[in-house]
Amino acid sequence: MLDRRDQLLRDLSENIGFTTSTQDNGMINIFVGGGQALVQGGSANQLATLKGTTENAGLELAIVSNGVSKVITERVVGGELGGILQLRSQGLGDVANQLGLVQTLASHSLNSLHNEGVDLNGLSGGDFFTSINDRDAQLFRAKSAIANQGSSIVSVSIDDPSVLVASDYVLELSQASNLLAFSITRQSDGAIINSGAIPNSFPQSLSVIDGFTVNLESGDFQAGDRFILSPARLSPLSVERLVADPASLALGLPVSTSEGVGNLGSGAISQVESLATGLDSLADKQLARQKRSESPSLVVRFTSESTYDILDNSNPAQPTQLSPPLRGLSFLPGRNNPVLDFDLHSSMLTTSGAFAFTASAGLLGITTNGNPGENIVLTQTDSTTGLSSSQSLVLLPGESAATAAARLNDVAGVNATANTQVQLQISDDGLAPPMQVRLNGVDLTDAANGPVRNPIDVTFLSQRINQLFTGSGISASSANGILSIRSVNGEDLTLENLGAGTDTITLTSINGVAASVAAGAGQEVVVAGTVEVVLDENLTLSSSGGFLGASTASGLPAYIGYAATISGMPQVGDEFLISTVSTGKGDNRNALALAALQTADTGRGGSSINDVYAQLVGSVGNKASSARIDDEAAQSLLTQTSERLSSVSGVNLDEEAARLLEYEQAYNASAQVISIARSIFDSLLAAFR
Amino acid sequence: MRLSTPTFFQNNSTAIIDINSQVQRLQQQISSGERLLSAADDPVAAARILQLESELGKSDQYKRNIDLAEGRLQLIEGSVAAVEDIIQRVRELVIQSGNGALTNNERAQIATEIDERTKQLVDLTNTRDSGGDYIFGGFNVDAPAFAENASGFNYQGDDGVRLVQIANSSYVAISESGEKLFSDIPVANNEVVTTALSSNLGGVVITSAEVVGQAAFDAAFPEDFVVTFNDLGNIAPAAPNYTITRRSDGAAVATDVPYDAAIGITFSGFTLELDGVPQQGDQFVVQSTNTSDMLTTVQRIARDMATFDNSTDRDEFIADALNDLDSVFDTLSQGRSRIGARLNTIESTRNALEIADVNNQATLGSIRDLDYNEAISQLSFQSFLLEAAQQSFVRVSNLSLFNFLR
Repeated sequence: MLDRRDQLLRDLSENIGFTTSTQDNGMINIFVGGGQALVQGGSANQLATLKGTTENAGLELAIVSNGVSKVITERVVGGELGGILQLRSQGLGDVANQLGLVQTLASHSLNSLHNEGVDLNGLSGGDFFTSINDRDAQLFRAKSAIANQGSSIVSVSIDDPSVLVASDYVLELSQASNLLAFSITRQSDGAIINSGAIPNSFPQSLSVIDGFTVNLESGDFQAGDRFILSPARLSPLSVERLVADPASLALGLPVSTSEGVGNLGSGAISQVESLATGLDSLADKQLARQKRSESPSLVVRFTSESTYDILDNSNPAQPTQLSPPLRGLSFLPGRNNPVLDFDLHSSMLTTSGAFAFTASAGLLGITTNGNPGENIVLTQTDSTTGLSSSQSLVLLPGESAATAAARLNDVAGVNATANTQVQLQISDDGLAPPMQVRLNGVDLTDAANGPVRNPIDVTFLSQRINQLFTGSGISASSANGILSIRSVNGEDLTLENLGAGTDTITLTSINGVAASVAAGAGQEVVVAGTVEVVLDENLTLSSSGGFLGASTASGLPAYIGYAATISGMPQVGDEFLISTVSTGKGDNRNALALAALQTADTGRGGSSINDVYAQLVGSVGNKASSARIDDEAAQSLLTQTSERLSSVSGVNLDEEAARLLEYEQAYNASAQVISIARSIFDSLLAAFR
Repeated sequence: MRLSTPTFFQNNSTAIIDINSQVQRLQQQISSGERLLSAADDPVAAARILQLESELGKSDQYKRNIDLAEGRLQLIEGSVAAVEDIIQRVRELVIQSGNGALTNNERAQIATEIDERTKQLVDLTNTRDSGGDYIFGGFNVDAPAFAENASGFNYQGDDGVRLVQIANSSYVAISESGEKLFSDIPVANNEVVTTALSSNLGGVVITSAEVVGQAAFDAAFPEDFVVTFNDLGNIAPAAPNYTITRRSDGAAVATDVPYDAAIGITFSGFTLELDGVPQQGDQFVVQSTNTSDMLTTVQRIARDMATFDNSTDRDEFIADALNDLDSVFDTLSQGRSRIGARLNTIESTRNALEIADVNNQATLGSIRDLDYNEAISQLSFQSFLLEAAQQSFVRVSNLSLFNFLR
């Protein structure tokens, strides 16, 4: 009977690990799963399987005692069951997460590049695979525990696949006064990566630094609720190829560059490069795509050998300034100059008008542009710590836009340009003494520079300005009796009317804003420029007045998501076109970018999709290898133990045979003894006969 | 310690199974030629093998790309060489036309040959590849690269250059845009390039655009002009009229000029003739350029030669024509040297890939491949062990005392 019992115990141990204790009366109690009694005295409890604690999770193992089930899944060690449970909890989950991460990275990076391109029909590329934030996928990533009360809906959306970790997370809710406290724990290392309290009203979103957001959408959330989140988990439902038609493959790019007809200089523009590949977060990519779709075709027009404007080229007959304008950007001749390489989050400030100061009669020589001066405070906010630091800049009264821009440019993260434009009319009565005009102290009507017309007109002045101010950034043009003077550096333009009688200079437009400022004989007028400031992300500017006082920051007008490079030596008036109209069918630029994804750094820590997959193979191999070593060790342990067991309870046939012989011989000997005894008795009895 | 009989049998069978599985494993290794049968055998090596195999796969693709690129570049080079031959012939014809003994009639005959040559050139610039794509059209491979228009020929392609990846970080251009090869060639006299905006309503086409007053046109260069048709009511009596503005600053240079379809639009040395009735708001951009394309240049030479009369300055014409043809030659030879440089690049890249392949194969071999000498001697050793174990087991298992109890 005891042998039979021991054999049963042996059989049981193949299925599950247990401990035993022997009672005084020789009965044995069996405990499984860390002390739960399977057999106690004469009674036995049942092992049962239960539906998992979370939806879609595997079965749980429980012990049923007096009708009460107690889950022991995590405590079962040893035996076939223990091995299978361990594989499920440690091996499979990790592999599913890692494989899911490979899939998420691959489909996301392919999708976002495919979105950048245009297909053969000239349409913007759609999603190649089902979006990683597909509704089904979002819901699949969150499982609520069976024990949760109420029907709550939780989803997980991915914000930035490049920082995803192949791990499960647990979201736990608890009560905190009238709020609901939550904590999110990363299972791979047990770190609590987000915790806090939220009002008990839904929907609520909790963003997590590992690149995803938990959306508590609706339902009856209660303290004690638990949710298993698997942001990287492969969803079997949501991986589908959506592009069916080869003509819908977006292999081209929607932006192309070309050089203007009749360019005089040796400048050349490169092909565009996408800026979106440097953006990881989905929100940024979305914003960039939107900005690009709103962006018109652009033209880069050189205003001097070292400055250029970027204009809206929607109407090729008449390029117009963007709003706010991008003017007077600087160019280094002979070098590779990136153009349009703007940061997505940069903001831009521009002065709406400017200052023009007219000195009254007799005040000739007192030059001030009317700028009252200003205090500028630049505040930098660190994007990770949220700490901000400020620095202030004092611009003096009367400073020119050029100086202001130069001082602003000294601050890191600030890119300021200045620009002065004025349009004016001349009224010369032609009477002696002849009218004289000075620009920035240079006499435009000096006979030493060639014959002077009388009366002077705008065409003459325009020619003189272009002749005398060559290379200084000041240029002029005239049409219909209007003289336009521009300083691409934003210097003050001082016009002195050294005439007599009714000789008048009338400003009709100052920096693009209509005006009516007259300088009569003996008067002078000083025009200050505008300052345009581009601020890096996280930088804000406030001003007390002056140039920037009334202006507010807005987004860059020309972020098209692509940058190009202009090299060589362009001349004034040279143009480079950046067309946002889709190009021809031979365009394979996006195809090249898609092919480059194989080795691109798309994952956490700059790992490529290939690397992530190699890591997966390596880690599965490691686990299998250590399992193999465990197996060998357990085998030899088993062999030794069985040997010990059978040395006590087993039999050796030779030993038994020897004993058999021993008994047989003893029997024979005994028989001999009996037969001898019988013959002795026979002899004795015969003697008495 | 007592050795029980079941243990004896158990141990023996375990030992034989052990050896059997080792023999089996060796046999698998030998038949597959691979040292690693699963990632668990050597996880680090397994990951490394994946990387090396992907490297070799990429290299294979690069070599295929190089073959493709080579074919394309040779096709382009062949076309450019043929173009050069024709230009050479045109140059000879121009020199021939300078012969003072020729009559204007004979010159017109030479011009006819140049015209024929122009058609040949058009064919060459519109060369198509095996897939029917126009190879000189940049990205715009569906339309002929050059088409005849009012002012000569215009390039219908774009500046796009198709690249092919031939190494991890190296791309080679497998197309030449016709603009770079056959256009943008400096010419002796500034020329006019016109565009009717696609937003025009009148459906008016430009039938001819010519420079008629070179001096006036040169004076305005490089300024571009925009012709905009105005409201009929701008002039009295109401009639089509236009305003010409400078493109650089939008300033009007000629306002409300009545439009006479018979004369066309003449301003600052250029003439524009239109076909159709212009509508209010229609715009035409007139650009001046000191460059032209090869086809227009050759066509213009033929035209000027055909219309020679005694008032023409023959020497100046010949000098300008030869000058222009030399510029064409320069541009073509620059193009050919670019293509040649690319062919050199891909050749040396091919060699570099071969060397890298050999190294990667060697590394892969040392990690993945089986050492057959070792494996086979192992196998014979293990088989020997197995036989010995089996024989000794049979022998020993027969040794039982019961055998003697008969």
